[in-house]
Amino acid sequence: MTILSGSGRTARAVASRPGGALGLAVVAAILVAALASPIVATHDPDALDILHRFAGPSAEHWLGTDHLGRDLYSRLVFGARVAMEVALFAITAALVGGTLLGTLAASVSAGWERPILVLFDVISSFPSLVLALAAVAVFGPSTLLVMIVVAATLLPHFGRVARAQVLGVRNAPFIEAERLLGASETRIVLHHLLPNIAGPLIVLASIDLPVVITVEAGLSFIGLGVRPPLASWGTLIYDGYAYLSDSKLPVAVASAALGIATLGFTLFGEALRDAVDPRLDGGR
Amino acid sequence: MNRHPSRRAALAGAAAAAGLPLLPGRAAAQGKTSIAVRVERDFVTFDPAFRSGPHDGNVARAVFQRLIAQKPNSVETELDAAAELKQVSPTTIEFTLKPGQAFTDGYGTMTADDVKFSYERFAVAAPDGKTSPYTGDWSGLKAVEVTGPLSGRIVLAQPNAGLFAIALADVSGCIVSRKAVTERGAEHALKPVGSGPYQVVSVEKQRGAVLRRNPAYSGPKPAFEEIRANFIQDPKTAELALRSGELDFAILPPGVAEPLRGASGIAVEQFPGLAYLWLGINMQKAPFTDIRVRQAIRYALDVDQMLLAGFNGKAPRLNALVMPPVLGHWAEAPVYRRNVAEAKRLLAEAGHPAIRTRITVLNQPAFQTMALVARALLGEVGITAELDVQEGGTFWEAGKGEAGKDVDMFMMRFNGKLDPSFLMQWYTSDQVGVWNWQRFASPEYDALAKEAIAEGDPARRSALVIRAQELMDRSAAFVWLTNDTAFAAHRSNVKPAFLPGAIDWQLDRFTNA
Repeated sequence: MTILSGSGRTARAVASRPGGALGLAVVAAILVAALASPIVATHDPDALDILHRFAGPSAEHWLGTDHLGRDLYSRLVFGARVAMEVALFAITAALVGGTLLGTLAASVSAGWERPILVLFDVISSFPSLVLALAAVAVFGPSTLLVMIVVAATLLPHFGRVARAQVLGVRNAPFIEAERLLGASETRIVLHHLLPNIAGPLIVLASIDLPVVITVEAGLSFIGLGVRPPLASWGTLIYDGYAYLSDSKLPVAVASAALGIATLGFTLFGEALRDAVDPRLDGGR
Repeated sequence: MNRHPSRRAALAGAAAAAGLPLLPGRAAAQGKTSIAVRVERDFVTFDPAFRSGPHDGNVARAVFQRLIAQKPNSVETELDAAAELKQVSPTTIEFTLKPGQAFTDGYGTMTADDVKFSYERFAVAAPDGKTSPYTGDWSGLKAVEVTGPLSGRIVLAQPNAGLFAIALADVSGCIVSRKAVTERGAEHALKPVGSGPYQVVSVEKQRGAVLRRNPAYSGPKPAFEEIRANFIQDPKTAELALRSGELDFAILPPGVAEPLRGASGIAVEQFPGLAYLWLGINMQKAPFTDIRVRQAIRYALDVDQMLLAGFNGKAPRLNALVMPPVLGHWAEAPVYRRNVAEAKRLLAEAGHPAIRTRITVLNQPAFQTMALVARALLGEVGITAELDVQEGGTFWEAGKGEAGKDVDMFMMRFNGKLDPSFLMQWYTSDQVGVWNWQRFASPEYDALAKEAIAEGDPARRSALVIRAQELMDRSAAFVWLTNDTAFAAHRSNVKPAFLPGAIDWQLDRFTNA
């Protein structure tokens, strides 16, 4: 009940800001498109109609068709599903893995902490693109690989924040009280530390979402991500780019979707951060 | 008097020097001194016997001399390294080299022994065990007999109808230095020692190569001091590079080249293509071992629709291996039309009403687009095809060796020449696991290919070539797509030179327009 009312308060705080309301609306629209894509789409996104390639917007094809006569609107909708699948999987994996490692690093002795921090440094030293190129060379391109690469590159980000948060609260009086009462380390971590550091990490995740969406689109654009014929905003831009002289619409539509999604998630993330940590509100 | 230049004078001089190219007159009248051309594949080796394709061969043609060479933009030949070349019988050709033709890097002058080494090595395994994939170009070669330091005799065991056009005058006829190849070993691949108009000064993976004029070359001086062969795989990027002036010459697909027509400072020329595309099926992998499955695939596909999607309908349909301008073109080859009912019937009869398969395809827009259409068309008859899109480095190895046994279907583009034997050589049994990715092994085809290359009478040779194509057609392992139209786009102030089909370039004959 407390949690629900807390979430409701946060949602109201996000929606009360103009940027937050806009971000929330965009995020909601993308989530609906992703979750209900078979219902929201008007056509099979992979259905070809070669004779009607590069058709302009019409009642039949709201955003026109691409170089294979596929319905652009439907591909855009299914592209949202791919973007959200990749983003949510990668962020969740990085959040869980990073939090566990960060908490562990803050809870163990300096001798054990060091290897974890070195691991974070090693992973951070690889830009996601370089890591993706290496992984593709070994395993071949796939959507799953994009998710894993993005999750791996984000993991130190969450790990460091989790470690810093844990270090900040581990000696707090209420934790000391728990220890004196004989609570185990596992209980302290699960029941006290994690709930107390969850807020900043969730805000961080929401801010990282647009980054993941653009990384997925970028990797797919250069052929390292989602495989054809699966629709992703990156592959839509790539396909459109190859046929730019025939029609500018596919590139324009897919780029706009990517831009709006990035903006929406960024506004939402910032509003969420302001709502969760009021100290930052107006401080920028 | 102080003779030391002041800093101000030095700056003024530098500014004046920097401004010189902007001035009209002498510099402009002389034209460009260097050009950049696009290569769409990474260089593998410039060694003529082991080249991996025309992109390697185009550099080899500029670096090495041949006894005879094609005239610019023509298949007619003229003497190159030879002072004299005479066919004394159908199986004997005598030659005399021009004296003093120096190899670069101090490897001495060309001798008849270098000619012997260059030609005979096509049939002999290299120290690493590899044999030349172009052995067929020298089919029938018995020996090159050295009769003097600069003279010799090419002796054939049987006549070779394509010898002059395909071997002697082209890349397989390039003369290497025996000493340089022996001493440099594997290093010779990308550090070639030639005696031709250009020398390779640098090669970098994924970037290309730089050629510089060979000052010791005794033939006509090429127009450009330097040629940069820039690796640009993506055609759209090449188009932008041409527009910006970063690139002077590129062969582009029609969809990319067409919009360049009328662009300021750019010319686009269109040529009937000698490159050909097809969808191949691995005959040795189940369920494609059953001819009915292969026939079903052929009926399921709609070639015209695939070409419309891949080439904006600007590429002519091909119905057999040999394209119209080449001897042995099979004008009456069957034109397969889509027949979904027949495809389904054949699959049911073969006991494979539903098949899961994979189409291996190069990551080029036109190929991917056609493969996507093929996937959709196959899906309608119960064949679920997954696209295996690969970048150049892995694609060109996909069907080779043991890995080739696992390939299902693939979309392939080969470059051709005007001689039918050049086109036929890739489908013989000994090419299985090399370039014959269909694993089409027909002793009858092999015999016809061998017979055709030795046949001097054009009519009889044409009949043999057509018979061989009938065998290919009967195998149903080939769905011929197109001999694509070649679009050569170049800056208007550069005049390119190439052989018919525009695949084989004569870089040393490029000039200022």
